[in-house]
Amino acid sequence: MNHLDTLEREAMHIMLEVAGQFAQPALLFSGGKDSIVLAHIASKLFRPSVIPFPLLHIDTGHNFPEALFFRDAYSAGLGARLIVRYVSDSIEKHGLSEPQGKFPSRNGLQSYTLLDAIEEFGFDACIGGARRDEEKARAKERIFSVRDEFGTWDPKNQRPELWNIYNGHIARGQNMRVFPISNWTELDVWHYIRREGIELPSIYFAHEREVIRLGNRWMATNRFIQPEAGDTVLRKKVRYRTVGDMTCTAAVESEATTLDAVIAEIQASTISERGETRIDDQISEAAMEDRKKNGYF
Amino acid sequence: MDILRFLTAGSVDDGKSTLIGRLLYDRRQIFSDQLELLRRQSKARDGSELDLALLTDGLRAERAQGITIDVAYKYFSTPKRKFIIADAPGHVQYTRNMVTAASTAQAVIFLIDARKGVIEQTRRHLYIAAMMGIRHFIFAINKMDLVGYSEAVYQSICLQCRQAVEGAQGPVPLLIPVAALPGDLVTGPSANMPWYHGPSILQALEELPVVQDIPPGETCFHVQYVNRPQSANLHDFRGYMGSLLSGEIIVGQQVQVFPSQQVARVKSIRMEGVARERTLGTGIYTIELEEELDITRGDYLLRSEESGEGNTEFTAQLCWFSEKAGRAGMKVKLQQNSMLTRAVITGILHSVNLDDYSHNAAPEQINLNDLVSVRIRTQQPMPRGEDSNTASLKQAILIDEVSNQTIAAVLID
Ligand SMILES: Nc1nc2c(ncn2[C@@H]2O[C@H](COP(=O)(O)OP(=O)(O)O)[C@@H](O)[C@H]2O)c(=O)[nH]1
Repeated sequence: MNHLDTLEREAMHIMLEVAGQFAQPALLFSGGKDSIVLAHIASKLFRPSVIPFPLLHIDTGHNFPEALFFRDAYSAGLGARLIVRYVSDSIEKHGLSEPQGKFPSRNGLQSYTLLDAIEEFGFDACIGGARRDEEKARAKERIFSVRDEFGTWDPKNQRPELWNIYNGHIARGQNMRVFPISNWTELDVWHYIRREGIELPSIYFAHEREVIRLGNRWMATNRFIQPEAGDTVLRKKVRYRTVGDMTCTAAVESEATTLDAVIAEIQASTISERGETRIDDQISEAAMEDRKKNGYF
Repeated sequence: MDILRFLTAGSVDDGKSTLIGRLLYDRRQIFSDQLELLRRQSKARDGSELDLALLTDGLRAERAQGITIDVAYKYFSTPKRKFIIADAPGHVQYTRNMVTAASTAQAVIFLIDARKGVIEQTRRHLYIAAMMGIRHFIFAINKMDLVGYSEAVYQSICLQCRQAVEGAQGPVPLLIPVAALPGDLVTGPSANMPWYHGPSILQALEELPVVQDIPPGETCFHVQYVNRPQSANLHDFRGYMGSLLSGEIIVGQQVQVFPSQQVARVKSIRMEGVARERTLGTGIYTIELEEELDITRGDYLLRSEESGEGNTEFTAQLCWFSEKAGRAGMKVKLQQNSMLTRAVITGILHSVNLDDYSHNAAPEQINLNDLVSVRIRTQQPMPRGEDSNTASLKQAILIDEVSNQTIAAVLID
């Protein structure tokens, strides 16, 4: 059996276990490629009916407009219920302080909004598109991962996962995070997108943008990121390899306007997905691990 | 391109991490920014140039202690295959980690230090791998550079390995001399060992046959989710969604629901929304039945003539994962596929001494990392797995009723 079939089937099995074991699951959907793949798999799996749980997006207010546009169009096309909750509301509600600096990332604040949404809707499981190949701390994450009521992850207290049996038992207040595409690599995701003919937001393909240089990466200027004295502002042909927030996702110089060309470029790349695109992971080696413990998805 | 899942087993310092690092490095599956980080870490730790072993060390606590204590997964691929490596090292938690990693592996690489040969630990790992039913055993007889790449050393270790595998009742092993650090016979040939004519580690991994198709035999489908959209266009739709574990289902045939023993006729079969006359191999299907029956998650659909009343009492081997000791009389939940039932450990028959495979009769309690044979009684009957080809009917987990933790792996006899 082809590796993509095996991976797809594993993801479907996991989603079916979520549908079977939880009363109120949600699928986290951002309009990024990994969550699009999740939604695509779910929609295939449950045909002829629609996905029996809602899609949930935590909108930081810093999202790319192209991704938001895609998010709305794609979920409407699936006939799925889309719930959007806003980080700006959490900032107000909890009196949080806005991130400052040249690249004011709201990444760390997302967890508040997610926890609020979990409470508001009583979600007992949230399906996410994290992959183990993304980062070292992720390599040990379980497929079913228990979070306490503060959203914290305890790497020392993970349940062993045997065969394809998933233990979804949780106590009141706890919440399960579920990662059906844990065993996919970045290239698996791209190959699957090509095989299935899945549409993507336009920013995954090369387009022209005004950018400033950040080390060996390019940050697009926008209403959050303004050039400062000493910055070189250029127009460049770029694409995005991941789609996070505008404030912390770097673009990649590219000529690839088709899926085949994008895959060819990624195949030839010597830099990892996160290394090339996420400026917030670079702070410390254990950055991701710390953010995960604190409830970052 | 298909997928092979394997795990590595060895005691500390046999070179497991180095071997995995070497496979990834030689296959260019380490990105330059990750390499840069490794170089910095290697320097900071012991001033070395590049310690490939650091690649598989994931979490901060472990880095601080300098040991790995959990299962980590790594990925690489060649044009022939995608590989998923389960890396399960560690000291105290070792049995638990290895059982977990082995449960999804089709092959295992045992690391042997050529200077030491087969040691006590190797026998423990062999027993677990054989118990978990892994089909392919590969020995990486490592650090050949430290024994002068000697064929005689290799041959004498091969003899030890074969004997040890026989003792553990494992499959015929592949025995490969390697030097993971300099890279001999990991991904390519070795000029240092011209006397060896077999495959390198990578070649062996690429060529292992993997059985992925559905076991023939009795129809066994387990219901994971009952899909009742109750939408306008699918008002009366009631689809039983789940996985076909063995055999096949054909539209119009009768199936028996387990455990209720009700009988129904198959009305439709769908895969990803597409209707079909019969199932085609393993996979997830949505099945509608003509009759309206009370079928819930955890039920099985079996071929009607073959299903029986099932078992509520059986013996099984357990690997204990919990710090809380197990005792006879302990009440637990048991999950097999999607079926969940209450259960009680009615008796502890013996525990296995992993050093010499001897049995200790009737121990008082079951401790963390113990392998024991027990008697279990379940509230709901379980489908009989004894003479079935369906491996998953022999596999289950125990869940603590209070903490919800997974406390044991169960292999039903
Ligand atoms: N000379 C030599 N040293 C090796 C070889 N493989 C591993 N080592 C060294 O043995 C030590 C332990 O290796 P490591 O991969 O960390 O072992 P692990 O504990 O099994 O993961 C390290 O210092 C390695 O550099 C080899 O083939 N030859």
